[in-house]
Amino acid sequence: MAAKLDLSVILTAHREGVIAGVTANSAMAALKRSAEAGLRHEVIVVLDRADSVTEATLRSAFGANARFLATTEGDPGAARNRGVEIAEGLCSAFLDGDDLWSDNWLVEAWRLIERRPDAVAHSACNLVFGVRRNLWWHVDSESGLCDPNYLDWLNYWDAMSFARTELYRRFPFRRNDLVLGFGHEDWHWNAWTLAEGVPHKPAPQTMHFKRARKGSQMDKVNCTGGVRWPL
Amino acid sequence: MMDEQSELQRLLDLVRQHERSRDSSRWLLRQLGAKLRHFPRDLSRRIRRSIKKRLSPGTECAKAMPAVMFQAIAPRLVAENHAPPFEVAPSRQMDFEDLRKSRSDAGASIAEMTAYFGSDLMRSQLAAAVALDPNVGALTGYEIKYCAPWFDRQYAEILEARKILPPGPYESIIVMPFGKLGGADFVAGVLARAVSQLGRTLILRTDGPDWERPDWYPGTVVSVDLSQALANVPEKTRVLYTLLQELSPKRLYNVNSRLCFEMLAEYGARLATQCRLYAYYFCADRSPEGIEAGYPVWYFADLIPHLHAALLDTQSLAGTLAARYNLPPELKAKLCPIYTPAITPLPAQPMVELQASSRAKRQRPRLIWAGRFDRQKRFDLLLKIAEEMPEVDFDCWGKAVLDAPPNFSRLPKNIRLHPPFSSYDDLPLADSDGWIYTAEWDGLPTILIECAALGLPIVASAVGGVPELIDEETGWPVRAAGDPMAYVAALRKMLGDSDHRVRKVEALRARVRERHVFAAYAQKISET
Repeated sequence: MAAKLDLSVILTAHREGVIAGVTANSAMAALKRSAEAGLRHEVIVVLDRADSVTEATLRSAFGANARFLATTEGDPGAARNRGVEIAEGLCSAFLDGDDLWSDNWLVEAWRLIERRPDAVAHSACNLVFGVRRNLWWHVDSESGLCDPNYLDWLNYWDAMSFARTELYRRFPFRRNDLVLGFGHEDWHWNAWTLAEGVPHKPAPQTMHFKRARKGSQMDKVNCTGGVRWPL
Repeated sequence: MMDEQSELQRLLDLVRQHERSRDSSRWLLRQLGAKLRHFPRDLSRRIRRSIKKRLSPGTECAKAMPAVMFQAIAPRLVAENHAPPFEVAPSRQMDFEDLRKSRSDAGASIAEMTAYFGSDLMRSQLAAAVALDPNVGALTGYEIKYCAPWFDRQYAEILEARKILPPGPYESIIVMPFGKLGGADFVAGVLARAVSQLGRTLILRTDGPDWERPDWYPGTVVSVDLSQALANVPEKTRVLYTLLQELSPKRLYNVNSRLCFEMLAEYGARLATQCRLYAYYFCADRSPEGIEAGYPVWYFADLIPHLHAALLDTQSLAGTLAARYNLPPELKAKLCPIYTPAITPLPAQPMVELQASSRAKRQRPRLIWAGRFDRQKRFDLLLKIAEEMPEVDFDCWGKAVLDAPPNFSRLPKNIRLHPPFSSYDDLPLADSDGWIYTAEWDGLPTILIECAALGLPIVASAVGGVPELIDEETGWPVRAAGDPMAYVAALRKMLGDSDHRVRKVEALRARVRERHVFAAYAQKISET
């Protein structure tokens, strides 16, 4: 069945508060560029146990230009899965409620996936800011720089990826188990998809700005000494 | 921008100057601190913490300080002078350069990163992000730049460990600290023999390379010393967890590896979803105050919910742990007492019969004591016993291992000391009248199991698991284990009643045949 749209932007939000407003502005800047490039898109905001400030901020930012889905998953991967369930785009792109994109991200990722529909696109690099600061380069899984076994030890790529929606439906995120200590749903997802032959590739000259906050989902997993689910 | 750069350059020159003369270090740190207001918030916080620490009273401004500050202050300059847009761990430099030369795709990826890093496009993207939220901050060059896995020093150690590990999957992996001469090392060998019958088995040594008795372990089992590979790893438990995941055993046994216990305490719940976990527990040690210490005290409570079974060398230890923790039935069912088999097969003729035929040649009765001259084994008690029994000779084999050696200058005349023995054949067992064991606390020591298998009359302290082997039926247990006169009474009984000597030794050997043979051990391991 042909997709109604080219692109679904799935923004997942929890308790980011008004910071989500910055994220919304960043998304709208990238969507403007993608619209200029002729891409038809939709925005899905998944409010997963979101607090009232976060919800109000995002409703104010997007108004009628987004579909809002309230969920009670309490899990970032499960929230993304819910967004994917209702996505109508040929491709989907995830955006966490406190992060930002470079405005060329959607266009460059689209071009990459047009060439390689089997692949998952990531930003070329992430600038992590906030309580930590670093620059994280995303390697191409098809390059000699990549050692697939590294995924037994740590993660290569974050969750703000871009791929065919069908791929996300084929490989849904596995929930974190913070009690047991299995976490970083993107780590498991990356290892799983790579093991199944799905390449992970950086979209050239794109950048994500990842806010490192105390109390964020990632911080909670880190606090449990989270390791990847076994494959 | 240029002013700041030249100011930094001036400070770096001062840092270099400082490396030649330490006198200006405090002044220099304050100068650097004054610059912090212009730096990004996270970087300035990091540097301020470092300066505060180094200026605190009693802290010497160490020689390493300027290097640390240099790295904190100078990466922008370093970045501009040296091209790679990410850090490569020193131990991976050669691999990295080889890869860059040999794989064009890798070279192309690096070139792409290099061209993008600090480009006008990146700067404009950053400017746009900063316009949306100033917290994003400027691209200063001070950011640590990662490109996995090349920056990762711990992963470099994992790569080294992988090189020496025969790849999985395995039916069983046994983790032990080293292969020395202790009872636990012997037990690990017996366990290896048993589990190797179930499938492919690997032994990992975590603490040291020692492998002193290869004959204790089956030839089909590979033993790998991981201690060197783990030596420089900060997160040892995680590395061990990761390697074990990759080796993918169905059964994981820990025999006294502290690192493995710590790994199980941290990752046991998670590892238990992937394989069956077993931990061996032997008797606890005692502090000088008499308080129990050691693995059954430190690493039982947190682990038992995740273990498939806790293997214990005595019923006594099982009873102690069950009572101490009021274990509910489902956890109590995980306690698996399993008697260690004897090393030597039972000889056809018990030693007690040979002793009877050689007795006429001995002018005086002769008893054997062997063990460590440590607090636990109560060699001091033996000295008192010897004083009370001047008509008997006591031959003693051993050395101090854990504690300071006792004062040997005033030994009773009827005590003779010998260095540790390497084989039971080295001992005059047939030319003696029995064995005396005086430990204050214990499990069920393998030395008593061997003595029992050989058919020796035994007087032993009735502590820990010892009465499970030496009771009134099979020997001369001493209930008042700290009282020399109680031993004297038991020894005189043993030496004086030749009929009882033979009968008790027969019962003792029957018990060994029933409980301490490899077939029974292997059967229980396969069923557990």
